[in-house]
Amino acid sequence: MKKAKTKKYASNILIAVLIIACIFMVGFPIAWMALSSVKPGVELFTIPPRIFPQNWSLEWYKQALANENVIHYFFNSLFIASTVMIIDMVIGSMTAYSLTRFSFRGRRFILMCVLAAYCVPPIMLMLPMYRIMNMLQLSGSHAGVIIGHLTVTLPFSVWLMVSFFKKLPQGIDEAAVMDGANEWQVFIKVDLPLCIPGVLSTGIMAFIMSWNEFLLSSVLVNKESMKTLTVGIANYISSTHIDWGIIMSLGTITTLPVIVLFAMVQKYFVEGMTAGAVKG
Amino acid sequence: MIKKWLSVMLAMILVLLLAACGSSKDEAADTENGREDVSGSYEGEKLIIWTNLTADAQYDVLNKQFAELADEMGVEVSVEKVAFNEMYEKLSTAATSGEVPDIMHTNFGGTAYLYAAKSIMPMDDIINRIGADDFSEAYKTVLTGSDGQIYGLPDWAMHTSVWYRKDIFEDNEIEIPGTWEDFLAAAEKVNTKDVSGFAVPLDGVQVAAQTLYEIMCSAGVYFMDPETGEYCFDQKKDEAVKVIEYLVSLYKNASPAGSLTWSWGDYRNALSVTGTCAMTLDMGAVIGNAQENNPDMTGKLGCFDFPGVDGKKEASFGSGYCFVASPQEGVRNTLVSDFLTALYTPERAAERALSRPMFAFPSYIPSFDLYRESDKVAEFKEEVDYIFDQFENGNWYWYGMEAGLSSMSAYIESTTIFGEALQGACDGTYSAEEAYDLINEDLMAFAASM
Amino acid sequence: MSSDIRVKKKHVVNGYRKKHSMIGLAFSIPVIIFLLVFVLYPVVYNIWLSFTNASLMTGTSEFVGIDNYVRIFSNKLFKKYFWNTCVWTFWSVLGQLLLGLGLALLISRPMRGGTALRSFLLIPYVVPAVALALVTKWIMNSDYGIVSYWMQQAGVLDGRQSLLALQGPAMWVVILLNIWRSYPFPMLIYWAAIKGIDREVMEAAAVDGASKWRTFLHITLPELKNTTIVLAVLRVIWTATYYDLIYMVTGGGPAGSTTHLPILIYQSSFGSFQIGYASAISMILGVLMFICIIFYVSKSDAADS
Repeated sequence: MKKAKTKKYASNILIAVLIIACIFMVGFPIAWMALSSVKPGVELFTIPPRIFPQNWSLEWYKQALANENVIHYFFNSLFIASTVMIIDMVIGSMTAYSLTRFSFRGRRFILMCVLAAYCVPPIMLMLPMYRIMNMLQLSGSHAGVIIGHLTVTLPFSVWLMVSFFKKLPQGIDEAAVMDGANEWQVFIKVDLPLCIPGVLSTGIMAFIMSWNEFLLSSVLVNKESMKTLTVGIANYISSTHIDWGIIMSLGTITTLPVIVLFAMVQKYFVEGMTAGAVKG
Repeated sequence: MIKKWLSVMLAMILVLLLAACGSSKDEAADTENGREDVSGSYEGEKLIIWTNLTADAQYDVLNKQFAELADEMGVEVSVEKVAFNEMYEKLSTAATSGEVPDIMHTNFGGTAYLYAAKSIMPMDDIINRIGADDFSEAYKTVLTGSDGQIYGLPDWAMHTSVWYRKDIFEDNEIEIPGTWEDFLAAAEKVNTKDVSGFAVPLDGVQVAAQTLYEIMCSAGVYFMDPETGEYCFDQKKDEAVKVIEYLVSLYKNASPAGSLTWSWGDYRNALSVTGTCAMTLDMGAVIGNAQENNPDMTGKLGCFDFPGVDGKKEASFGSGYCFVASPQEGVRNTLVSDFLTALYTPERAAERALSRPMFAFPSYIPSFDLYRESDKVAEFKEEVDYIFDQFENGNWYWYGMEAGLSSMSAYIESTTIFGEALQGACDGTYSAEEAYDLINEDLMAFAASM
Repeated sequence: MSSDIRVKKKHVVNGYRKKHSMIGLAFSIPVIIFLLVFVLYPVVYNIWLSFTNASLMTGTSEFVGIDNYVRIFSNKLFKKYFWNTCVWTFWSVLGQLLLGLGLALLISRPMRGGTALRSFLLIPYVVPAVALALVTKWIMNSDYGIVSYWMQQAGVLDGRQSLLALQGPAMWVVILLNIWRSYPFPMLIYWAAIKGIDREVMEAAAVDGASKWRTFLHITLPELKNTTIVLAVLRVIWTATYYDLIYMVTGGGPAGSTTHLPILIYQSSFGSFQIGYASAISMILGVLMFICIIFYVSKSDAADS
């Protein structure tokens, strides 16, 4: 009995150590970024480096936000990611409904195409995408970036949602049809509400992917006031001298909103994802 | 709960959408108003201008001057920043779709690319209008295409020197080195655990090629023959391999190990802010860096030219910025010409050169006096005189443009083979000869494809 | 329900299915159009480009047959970059699956603050790659980076050296960063799968006196097999084509040691202006990814039936 107790004690300690290690692993980069952004200039390059600031200062935020483009970056990112999220949720759920609740010919082929689209490297889309946007007169516009992000997120969203819609028993639709509902009503009133956690969590993923996307956003937009946050910050490193203070404040401005937003909606995300999204 | 959250979110997005629509409507209205009146003046015309200058101080001055002119001429100007590491991405996507900006303020490599892509027009008329004699000859040569026309309007120039810590040299009783051997010896002598002798920055994006090229120039090895304009890097293999070997020995004996991936910001910080290196090649930006971030260091910095192999330096790596413009028709052609001409007053040219936190000097001769009177520069009179002298009287080249504009120059700047080869040579993956072969084969393949 | 009504219902439903399968198809039309215009067209365009010598500098474009492919396979650096892609993908995916599984086991233990811990562990999932890249570049700076400083003090690194300037370690750094960013997704999926395992089976095993380790090995792991296959395929495709992180942390250096195919494609397009050649490389990458998907589909078909 005593042995078992010691064993339990040891395993608890092990778990505690593991948890602390995890917290450090996850927290360190973010904490470093946030803490650096409030260090005054003289403390940024101290040797040996210090983790905590001696004096707090908001000068980097003042400098970063004095540049009106930073505000633009932020709202561009927010607008683009929100729109991508909505479109993904709408089109994705419609497609999933279509592919799982009907048995028309070519259904499997469409699903296959969606999967194939998922494995097209974004870098391969980059240049043709730029040309299409020019042809459609969308280059440099938010619509262009949104379409670009959809090419990355939509196949994945459809694929995820198909797995949610598959789980609904066919009988539900049939019962609704018996009650006289048409296809659209079945979709809106029966299937979609049942899949809401899955649809929401897919939307959240799309939002995050869009918010973080760099490559296509960078190729498709030139105008300063149209850039997204990720592209805007990346430009700061490449200039001939690096303002670490400003960069860290911009990094914090980019990261914190998504963390906060995610914390708020996480419940639905977890609920949706664990409704059995990925299963053989 | 879900419903509540969903409706809040939807409302938020609706507001955003409305806001976006609202603003785009405003823009549309603006352009409509603008198009009404074209005859007679430039009223309502719009110029799109790109610049590589992403540092705020430089960008602000350019933007201010553009805005002044836009006001005077009644045109609308939209300025877009294109960072160096994405310059060729932006230029090539723009060039292939015909979306080149009206005017671009760029370096020689960017000019060479746009020239090769046939996206810019000759500037001879504008240069003559401003005054052909007001620009330095060397500068005009480098921007001359194979058809004899000048494709860029020189703005300001830079000259690579060795920037060093005068106090460290004094403490170690070191004379300014005059040969490669002396230079290596000096770098080794001042090299300590905390302060390295000479930083050899080799970041893959542009920096590796620049570091190599300054040493190549000093030994008289070039990519293109300055006389004939033909590719000649393959002709002088032995000398080129020696250059790479020398670069590697500088790295191994006097440079911090991490400098393998250092870019401009890193080595400038090391010399002028943290004081962790005693010498580095630079175009003078270290002064601006020190003035901003570590004023105490400002007085301790000086410069001398990288020496030649046995004393006589064959040439230096010079650089600069110019304005280029895409071909325009009718009234827009005169608009671009008027706009660019108006940028060349002594005051404006000097102000632009001084906005660079490095010793850029104006290429427009009438602005020299104003430039030298500035506080920022007067403090370094000795160094400025020295650089002016070197620039006027020594050979200086920009890689690949030893005999005028060439697509090779854009390629040298954009390819990553220099990083691959030189970083590999320094960490022992390649021998100097293998590194040379990698570079040479890559450049030859490009030359063959043109 | 009487058999009479059942027959009627079946009949109505059958009619409904036949008559309305077209309406069902209509729900897919937005996606079909989108994929045709914004994915299929670019891919076809890419295939065409890969057989030309298209240049982004001169704008020329002539048909050259399979020249680009021949050049790729005769290029000795390509072999190195291809191998880098394999190393990057293999370890990234293995690492995130293992870490994800480990943490899933940890958070599936009943304990106080478990939910909070789970939420906390999900954070890296939303941290933008650009922010992570910037922090990394700084903390690994050879002169003033705190991680470099610690390692230099510990004697792991030479003075004024950085992990990012050393060929092998640079690759490990980007792989670890990628694992850091990617493990939450597998963790969540594994956690859900573990929760879904029949409790009675587990309890029965415990009663039988099976050790935790044996239970894990013989009950938990086999249950997770399908999940693992799906996750692995998804993440392999995502990782092998993922560009942003490496581009922003090392740019493919030092000495090309972290250059993987997406970086190579970017460099061939905008560094060498050889868009035809770059398209050929993306075709190779695309085809490899397609093979992965085929593998996935055959597996999931087997699982369905």
